[in-house]
Amino acid sequence: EKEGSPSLGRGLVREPCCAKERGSGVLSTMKKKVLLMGKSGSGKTSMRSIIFADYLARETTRLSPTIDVEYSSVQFLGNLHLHLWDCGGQDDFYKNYLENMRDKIFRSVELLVYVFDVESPTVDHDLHQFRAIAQALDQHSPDATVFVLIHKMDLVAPESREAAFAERERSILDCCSATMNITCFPSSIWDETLYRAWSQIVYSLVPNTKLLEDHLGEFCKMCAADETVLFESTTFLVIAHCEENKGAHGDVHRFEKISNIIKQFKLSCRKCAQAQFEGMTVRNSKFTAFFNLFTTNTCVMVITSRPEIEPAAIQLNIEAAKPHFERLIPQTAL
Amino acid sequence: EEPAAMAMIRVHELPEILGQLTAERPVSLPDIGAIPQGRIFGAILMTRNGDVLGQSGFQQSEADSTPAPAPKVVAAILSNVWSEYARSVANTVSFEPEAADGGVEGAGPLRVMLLDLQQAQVAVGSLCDGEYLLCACAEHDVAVGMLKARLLTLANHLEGSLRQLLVVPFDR
Repeated sequence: EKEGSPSLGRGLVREPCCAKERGSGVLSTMKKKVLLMGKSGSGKTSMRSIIFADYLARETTRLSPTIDVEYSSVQFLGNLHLHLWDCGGQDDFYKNYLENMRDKIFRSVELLVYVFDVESPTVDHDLHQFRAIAQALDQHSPDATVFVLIHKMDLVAPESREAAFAERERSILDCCSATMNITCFPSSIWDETLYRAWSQIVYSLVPNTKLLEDHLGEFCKMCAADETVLFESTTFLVIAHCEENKGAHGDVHRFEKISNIIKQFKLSCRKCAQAQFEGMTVRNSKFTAFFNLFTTNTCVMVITSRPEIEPAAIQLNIEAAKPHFERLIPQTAL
Repeated sequence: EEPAAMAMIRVHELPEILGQLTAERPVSLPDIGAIPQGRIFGAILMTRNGDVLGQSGFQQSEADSTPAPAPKVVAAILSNVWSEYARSVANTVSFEPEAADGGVEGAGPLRVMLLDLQQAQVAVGSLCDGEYLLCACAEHDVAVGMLKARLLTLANHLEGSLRQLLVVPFDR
């Protein structure tokens, strides 16, 4: 009954560009389900605590004496809810999911994140399990996207990493039907590849990134900034970014590195100073970088290399743009 | 669809706009000819707390041996002085909108402050009811009336734009 209501939300009714979005107002309150699965010991729990550190409402559900499924829910970017079903990887559990709890687990899934341990000695068995899971998913949530993380890549010698990953990727894609939407990533908790993979995952969950990036582009121009980046504020994963001169910056992996650094800083602030992270300004002779809490669920980073731009003016623009983006983001996270 | 308008400052244009105050403007009257004028050597737009939003000028002139003042310092001092005087004005001068005989306009909040200093003179004006301050620093040769007039012209020009930042674009 919310669809026709003019009180759907402040600002939603006023802007012409949301008239189309109004119809999906009901959908926007639906929680999105993300499954995190993989063999026991593949690194799921470490991964989860690194990305979503400190922000999980933990709930361990014992469904039966032999089943261990850890369920946690993370609110994310407005009204996105990630339901992380960290399913124990022992064989018995897998059988249970696939038989007894098949529809409960695999229905209405938006995304499956499946973790493979690259060093696992039982490669064929792992693939077999994955195939069964993928089939169950295909049956109950045919539109779901699958992201496969080939994890613990740090255990592979750097010079062989690319080959090892390619080989795994091929065997994974081979064992599933061509209609499934599967993307593979190498990852390790010891470098920025983990962030890169999860950034892609998060990015795929935010529809309408084009709209967000257009607005960010305008904001970038007004601030005469070289680059503007929008981070999700719990995980510090990149949601959108805008560069004035496309490709000017050499390091394409800078976002993951920045995510990592700022996240650590934020957690340190919490632990050492018991302080809430509000913002940070870094200034040297070459550039000025501003990090600021932006909307309820995002942080913004603005970088400018022009010395005549005063920090206070950028701060003013950040404040001025907040209400606008605040309205924009709930719309994009359907 | 067009994205909804965001009210923000085009930050890179600020130095240019403020440059209108510091630009050399030789004045020439028909019968008198060129009038010797001192220069306005610096202009700053700042928040009420003294944070510099933009500035122009403050270059070291060749004739001068003393170093040019830093805009950050100038802004900090002036905003402080301004707030002191603004408070005094509020406490000591009454706000009568109009006198009974309709003759004299009543005093209001502090709008312009003119400071005569040892090596320069400074005019400071308020924008958006004191939210922002615009200041112009000039040599003594500049006629004070001219300094005030030029300051207020630019202030009026900026007022309209800056007001948009303070208004919430979509209320209700």
